[in-house]
Amino acid sequence: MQLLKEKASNGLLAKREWWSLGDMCEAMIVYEHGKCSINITGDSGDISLTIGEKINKERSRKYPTTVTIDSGFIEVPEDELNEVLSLIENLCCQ
Amino acid sequence: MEQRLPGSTNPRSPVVYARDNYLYLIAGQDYWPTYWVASHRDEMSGVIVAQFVNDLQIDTVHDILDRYSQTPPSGNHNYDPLSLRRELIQLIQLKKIKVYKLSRLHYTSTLMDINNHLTSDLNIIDRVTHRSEENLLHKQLELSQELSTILSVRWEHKIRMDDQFWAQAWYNRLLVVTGGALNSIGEGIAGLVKLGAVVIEGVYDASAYQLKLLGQLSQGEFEQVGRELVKLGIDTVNEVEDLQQQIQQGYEILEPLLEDEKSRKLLMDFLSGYVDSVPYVEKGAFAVSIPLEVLIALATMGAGAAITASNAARRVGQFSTRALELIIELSRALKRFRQKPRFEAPASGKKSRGKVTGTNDTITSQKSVRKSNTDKTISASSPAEIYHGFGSLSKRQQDLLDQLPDSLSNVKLNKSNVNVTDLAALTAQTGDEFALFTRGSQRMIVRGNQYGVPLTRSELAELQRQGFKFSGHTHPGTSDITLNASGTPGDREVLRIFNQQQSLILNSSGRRSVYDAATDRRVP
Repeated sequence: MQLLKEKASNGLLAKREWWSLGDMCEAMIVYEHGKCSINITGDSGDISLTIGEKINKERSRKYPTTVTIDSGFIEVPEDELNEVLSLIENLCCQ
Repeated sequence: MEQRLPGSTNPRSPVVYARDNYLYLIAGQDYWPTYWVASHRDEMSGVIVAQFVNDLQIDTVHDILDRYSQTPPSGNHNYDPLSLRRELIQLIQLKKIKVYKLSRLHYTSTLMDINNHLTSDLNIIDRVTHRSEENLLHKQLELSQELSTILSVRWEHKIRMDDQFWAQAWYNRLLVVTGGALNSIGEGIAGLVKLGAVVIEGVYDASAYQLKLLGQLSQGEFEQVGRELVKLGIDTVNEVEDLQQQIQQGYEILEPLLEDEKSRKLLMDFLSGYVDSVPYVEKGAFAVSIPLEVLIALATMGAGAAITASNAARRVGQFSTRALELIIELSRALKRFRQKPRFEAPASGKKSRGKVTGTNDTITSQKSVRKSNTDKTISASSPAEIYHGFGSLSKRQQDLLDQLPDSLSNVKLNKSNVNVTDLAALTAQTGDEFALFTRGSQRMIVRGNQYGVPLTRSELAELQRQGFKFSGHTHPGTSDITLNASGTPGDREVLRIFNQQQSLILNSSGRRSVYDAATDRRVP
């Protein structure tokens, strides 16, 4: 997992980080009030919802997913972010 | 209470403890931090070290000393706890044992990686270049490798300097920084930054750095700058006007790189990485910028002359002379690429409302069309014409796009300066989605990527709270199906957030549809 870039929050946008997950996927993490929204893109496009479904199937804890302007997000509490990202990386590398 | 995280079983490898909101990476004196660790470390000065050690469980103190002390306290745990803690504090302060304090958000696996700085840069660069046009790939890759090497060497110096810096108490650090200790950088950039002779400066614009040409050099600065340039091994001209002309020539060499998205990203990644690699004590005086001597050197080398460069390392500003040579080569390649006809139109001529330029049969590239017609004031092309390569953005649309360089960049404008067709034209040109929000007479455009506009529900709710309406957004592509709103919740979720009944979707050909809370497509 490699950090590609990060941006501090400003008037409009919350703090964001972009991570590469394996060779094929990229995750954008938005930090908002103790909660993180994760958007994942792969070669086939935005795969946030697909990954979100897989995570929710594998775990007893269910994370809400949402789509806003054509972009999917998985919402996770900030203190569970590391765990979820590791899981996403595994799923992306499969 | 600290908790040790799983890691290598090697008895000398670093260990990581988690406590409160921080991770503490502890290692022996020969440990060399990774790019990640070095760039994300937090304060670990005298008082904080003492507090950290005193809060550790005594078994942890014992374990750390066992691992990294030259004279470990053996397996006997009956040592005086106070003595053990004192010993550990002393070893940390003497750098015999290293402690790096990091926010808990950073990951154990990243902390334990081998030094990944160069790999990280090359990965970023690889992502940039592999999305570029084939015929530019080689030049961009060569330049990116040279720039990565420069950064990688700089990081070694930074890590050593920062090790000393972060070990000082905060009041000492403050003195060091405000004192502006620039003396350890033996490069021309420091002198020219102090002179205020930086002519291109990075401007942070909402979501991205952009390079902008600053004001011209004044007569008063000329002589002093001239002396600095001679010291750097760059021959200067005798008149300020000639120097200004050289600056302009240098800028013109950089311009094609700044206009090409991938090359600009490559350059900006390097410049911001260069600022990151400046030791903390010297950082105050640095910004993302290209100093004057780089422009002069580019102009000189671009005209075929050699420069002697500043020192043994053959450096000019942030760049090696090899990097400058590669920039000139890439600039020429980009110019050639821009001038190349995109494709041959049929002899009968495809209908493009008078936007064909040059010969009767050849449609020149979009940028050439724009340039060659600057004075003839062509009418704006339709989004479909732009999409199919028969037209170009109008100057106003191009200015708009220049203000939206990458995903999540945004711009606010008066309503009269932008319409929904502009949005479709931008999508036709870039392949990215754009979203339009309106509040009274004000409009705001947010650029997305090829898949969407990744604003979260909270961010959209904040826009709604500020009084914005979600006027519309674009979907890349020209088929009718692109006019459908994305499924539930998707685009309709945004209507709910904005308490709206309907909004507009446009595609790359400028066709439009209204969708509402009940159906994905309302207007066939």
